[in-house]
Amino acid sequence: MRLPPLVGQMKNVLIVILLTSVIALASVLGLVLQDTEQPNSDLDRDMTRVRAEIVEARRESEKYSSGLVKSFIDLRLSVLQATDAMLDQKRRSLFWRISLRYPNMASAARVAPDQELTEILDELRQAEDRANQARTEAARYSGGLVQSMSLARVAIDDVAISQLRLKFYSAKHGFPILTISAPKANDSATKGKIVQDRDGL
Amino acid sequence: MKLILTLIIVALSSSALAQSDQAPLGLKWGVSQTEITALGAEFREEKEDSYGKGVVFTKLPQVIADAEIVLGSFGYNDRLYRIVIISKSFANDPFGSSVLSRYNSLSSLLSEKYGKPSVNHRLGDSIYAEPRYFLSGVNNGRTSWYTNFKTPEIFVQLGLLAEDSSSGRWKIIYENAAIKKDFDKVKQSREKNAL
Repeated sequence: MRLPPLVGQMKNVLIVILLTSVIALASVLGLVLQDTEQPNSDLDRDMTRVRAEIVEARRESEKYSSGLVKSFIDLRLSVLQATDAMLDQKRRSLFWRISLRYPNMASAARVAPDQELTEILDELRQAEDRANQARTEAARYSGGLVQSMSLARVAIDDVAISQLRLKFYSAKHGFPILTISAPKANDSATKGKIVQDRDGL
Repeated sequence: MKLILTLIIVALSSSALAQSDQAPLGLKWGVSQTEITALGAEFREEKEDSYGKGVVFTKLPQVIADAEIVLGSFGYNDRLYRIVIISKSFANDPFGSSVLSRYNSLSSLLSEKYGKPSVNHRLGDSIYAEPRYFLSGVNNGRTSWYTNFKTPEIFVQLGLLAEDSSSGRWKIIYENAAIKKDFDKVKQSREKNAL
């Protein structure tokens, strides 16, 4: 059976429209995949590292029931969790091509140049060296006050490292830093009525 | 007359007893963790260590202006027998001049109170003998700087600590001799039973 010429023409037009749509869709999909592959794999690597550190910080925190060392480990945990949340948000925004805006953040979100990243990495390396030295020092003691103080120093250095990592990822992937205030040294100080040395000692 | 003499002796001995109970910073030797709160102290419990149950005091009846951390040990029988006072950090001073000056004034004060001390000041060798590496030496354990005071009732040690090569702290350890003796006995028997 022969189709009327008008129906035949409509069929051809439909086939052309369908093919054009398929090609356009494939091109857009290819573009999206090509664009997101690089940043996603880079972000995934960073997220894997941060998540491994979160697991380690949780394990360390569980060793203590309370005290100065635990409070610093918990602070490190908060910084790491904030870093993970920001990286995850960035990853999703890239995948779905959503532009993130942080209207309440003081520091503008921007990807830092290589030189700035290198400077942060240098700072990070120095902090890691200090933490390793403190760890070696703490390992020299098996208990007592001096070891407690050394462990507190290790915990403080680890907080500094986690904050520098947050700074690095923020500069690398372009998201603003959430400010988390560290407990001040005075928070651990004993409070009470200040007396003369002669009366107190 | 006999009655008056007895009363004087009782008054003197009770005053001496009250004096011997008096610990630094407005605390009392031998009190339990529950009793110590009645003195106006607040604390955070720490893990048991080689001195028994330990606490970090967050509030005390009296504090010294440049003290930052005060630790208390209650042994295994819940009786306060050891107090450690650690100062704030004297930072950016590799020579340790400021912390040494404070150490010397505290040493004079404690000498007035507890008598002639036994002084242990040993400078490290090599670079640690140089004044600019004084705190480095303390930090590395090459230099030791402490003074012991001893009476029949109490043992006091004033010493220096270093957090790094340029930050130092002074530290005073007080130990009540009688309660410490009891603690040592209990500790020894616990160790014996554990073996």
